[in-house]
Amino acid sequence: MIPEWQIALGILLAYFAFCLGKGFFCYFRYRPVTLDEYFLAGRGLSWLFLVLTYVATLQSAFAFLGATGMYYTHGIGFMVLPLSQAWCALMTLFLGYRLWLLSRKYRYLTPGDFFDHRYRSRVLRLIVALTLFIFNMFYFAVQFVGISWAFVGVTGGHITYQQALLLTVLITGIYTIIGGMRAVVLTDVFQALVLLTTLPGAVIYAVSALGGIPHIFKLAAEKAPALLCRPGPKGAYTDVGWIYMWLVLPFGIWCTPALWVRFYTAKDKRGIAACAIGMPLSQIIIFCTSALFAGIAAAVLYPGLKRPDYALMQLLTATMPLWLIAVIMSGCLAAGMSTIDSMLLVSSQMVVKDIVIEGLRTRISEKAAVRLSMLISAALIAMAYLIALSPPKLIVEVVIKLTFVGTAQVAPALILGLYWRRVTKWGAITGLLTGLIVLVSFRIMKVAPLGIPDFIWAFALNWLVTILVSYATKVTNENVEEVVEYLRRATDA
Amino acid sequence: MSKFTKLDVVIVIILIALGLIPWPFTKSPYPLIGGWLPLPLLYYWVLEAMYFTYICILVYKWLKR
Repeated sequence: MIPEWQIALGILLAYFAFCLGKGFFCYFRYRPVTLDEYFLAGRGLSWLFLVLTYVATLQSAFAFLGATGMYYTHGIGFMVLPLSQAWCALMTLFLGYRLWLLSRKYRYLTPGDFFDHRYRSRVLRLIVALTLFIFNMFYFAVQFVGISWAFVGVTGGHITYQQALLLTVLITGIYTIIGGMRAVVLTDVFQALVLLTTLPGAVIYAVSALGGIPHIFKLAAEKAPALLCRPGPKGAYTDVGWIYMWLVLPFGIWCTPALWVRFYTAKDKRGIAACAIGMPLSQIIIFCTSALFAGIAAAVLYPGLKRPDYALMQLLTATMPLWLIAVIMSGCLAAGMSTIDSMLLVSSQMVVKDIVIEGLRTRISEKAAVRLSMLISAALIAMAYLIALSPPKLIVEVVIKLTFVGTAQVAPALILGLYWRRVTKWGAITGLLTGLIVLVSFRIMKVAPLGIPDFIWAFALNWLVTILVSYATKVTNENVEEVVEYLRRATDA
Repeated sequence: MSKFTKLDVVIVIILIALGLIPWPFTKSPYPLIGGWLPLPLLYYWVLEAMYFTYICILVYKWLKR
């Protein structure tokens, strides 16, 4: 009889083979020779493909492991995340639609293209590109750590962490590099369906086997009532903490470059509308129900886990055979890989377009640029492998935890640039730099003046400085007409 | 977006405020609705459902423009 871990390994390898097949299919079918084709799938994604790749990119391995761990540790207060993020849908309708209109007219390829065009400032382009690249790069590298450990767990430790890491890096790297955005989208479509079905299915199965949802909640009310209200067992969601979570995080999630460039790929505005609905819907399926039930059930039945991220695995291990866990965890791998491939591609996109072509003013043909992009992607994935092999402690503690609040720092320059004629490039540059410096320095020094967290200081000062410096400086050659006025006409039509 | 009415804006502000304000009743799990469902969780679920419904309405109006 074949051991269960080998069946589990076979299922995961079959999944990897499928992903690779998609990559090779896209390479031979489309032969990407232009940057539009390689990075934006020819700007022709239908609404269904767009919403699925958007959801797959949004939901990382955190949806499986981290979210369950958060409910396990902090209880239902973690509902602040899906509640606050629901309003990203409005940002999609207002900001995403405008970026899509501009990208169709002016052929934007990266987030930096907007800033360079709107403010006529290559310096701002570079600052934005470097900001997004640094936060993006370490975040996606560390994603490998989570999915590699999940791989190790599913195979019962017969595959080492190093082997699992090498395998996931190779597979993700190969299909992303050779197939570009089309391969990423095709695998994302499949991965979105896998992740949106496996987690709810697994949780329903596991929680039913453990007595059902009402039973779990009754136990929680008896044993750990703090899990069922704010601020939670560790006091994480105090009144002030709850409000802070609403103010900055949605901007950081929405401005993530891998999600941002998804709007450039839309064929028509139905794609934008689908993303606006798909984001909260996926949050309901994963964060409001599945992860919540799994986290509370694990907290009640298996308290005191050393690593809360393993709460889901603990729950599954107690209720189902290893081969079935492998099927479920392929959903976790799907969630992680679909985020990593998009982040890898957009990182390469920013290096090639914002730094090599525009920053260093390198003149190369489109075909050469695509080849260069492939080489840079290969270099980035190698770098990610080295980071994941031995994650630097300081980077993990500072950069990773700042990923979304750091990314949110580009929001003032984006929003004001889209709507306000008076904002100047000096306002945008000084505001962004102020936000970044305050955020990183306060985090390193571990200070929170007046008891207000660093990210609130950074975000508020960013807005304030952008507006004040804009009033203090004159609009010179900023592209008010081509952006603000064009959008006013286009959206009033 | 000009076709969104002032009423839409008011509803959005009210809905966001309902979630943003850390209501005192969310600090206790009791009463347990139906003997098991904590009141704060019921409130969050109803709020999320209202958010999603209203987002769908806004998206529909936006597409109809």
